[in-house]
Amino acid sequence: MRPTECPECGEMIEATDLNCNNCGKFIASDPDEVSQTIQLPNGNDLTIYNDATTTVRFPDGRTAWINNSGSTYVQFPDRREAWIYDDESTSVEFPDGRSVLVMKDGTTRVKFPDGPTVWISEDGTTNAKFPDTSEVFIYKDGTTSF
Amino acid sequence: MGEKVTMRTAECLACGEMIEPGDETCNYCETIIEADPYEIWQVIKLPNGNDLTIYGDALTQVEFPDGREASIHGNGLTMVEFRDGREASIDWTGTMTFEFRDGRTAWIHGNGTTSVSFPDGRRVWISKDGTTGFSESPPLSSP
Repeated sequence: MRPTECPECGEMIEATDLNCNNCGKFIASDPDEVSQTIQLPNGNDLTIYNDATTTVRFPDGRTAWINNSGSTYVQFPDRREAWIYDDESTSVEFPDGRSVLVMKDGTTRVKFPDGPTVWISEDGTTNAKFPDTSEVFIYKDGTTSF
Repeated sequence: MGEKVTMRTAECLACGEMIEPGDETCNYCETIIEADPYEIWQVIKLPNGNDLTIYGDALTQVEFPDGREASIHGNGLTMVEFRDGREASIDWTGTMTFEFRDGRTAWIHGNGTTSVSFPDGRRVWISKDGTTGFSESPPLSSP
């Protein structure tokens, strides 16, 4: 947790201080603690946390995050969640259990709860794997195999 | 407080008083000064040292040391621009769009339909119910 006094020299620590003003010691902070809240020009609230995560809340219930690593995340009021990850892959998770992942190379995977997992590869080949282990392929030229 | 001025100008449109860049209201007649959407409204140093820039239209942008730029637009469009110019975005409906170096584009629509378009005109899609489709003709417009 963020201290109110410098653990090194006892100097008072203000909420926004990153270092002690007296001895210069770096002040560790609670990463989940709000560092600053700002009202944006359009009236929405922007919140900055101690770990540099930034969030904006919208009147329709959406919340968008920019994490300190650069990944982004949006949560929708219907509980859908969308990510753009640090490794350049992206994903969306749906409340009914479906999830879609698009990898950096463009390979796309859709997982259905209790259903198939479908892949679209880099060249467009599509492959569906079913829970009973059967598979279907649709190749780049449109031919199909089971 | 006075009436709202449409854009940020050098002088208050209501009384002609000079407007300084940080002014939210006219210092003379208190007319509200609306920000120029392209003007930087505020730059904040984040606790990790990165700069957060807020523009007049509420666009919030963070630049990362590896060249990525992550932004949240005033309407909620959230996107990341990568060093090589590619973009990944999540719009207000939840549609995710991702562009690839070789000309492919992948979409994840708000209802879960997923499609990939290829530079040669092919398009592959997976519908909400798991149905998979394949088209060789170039799409007339973005799916």
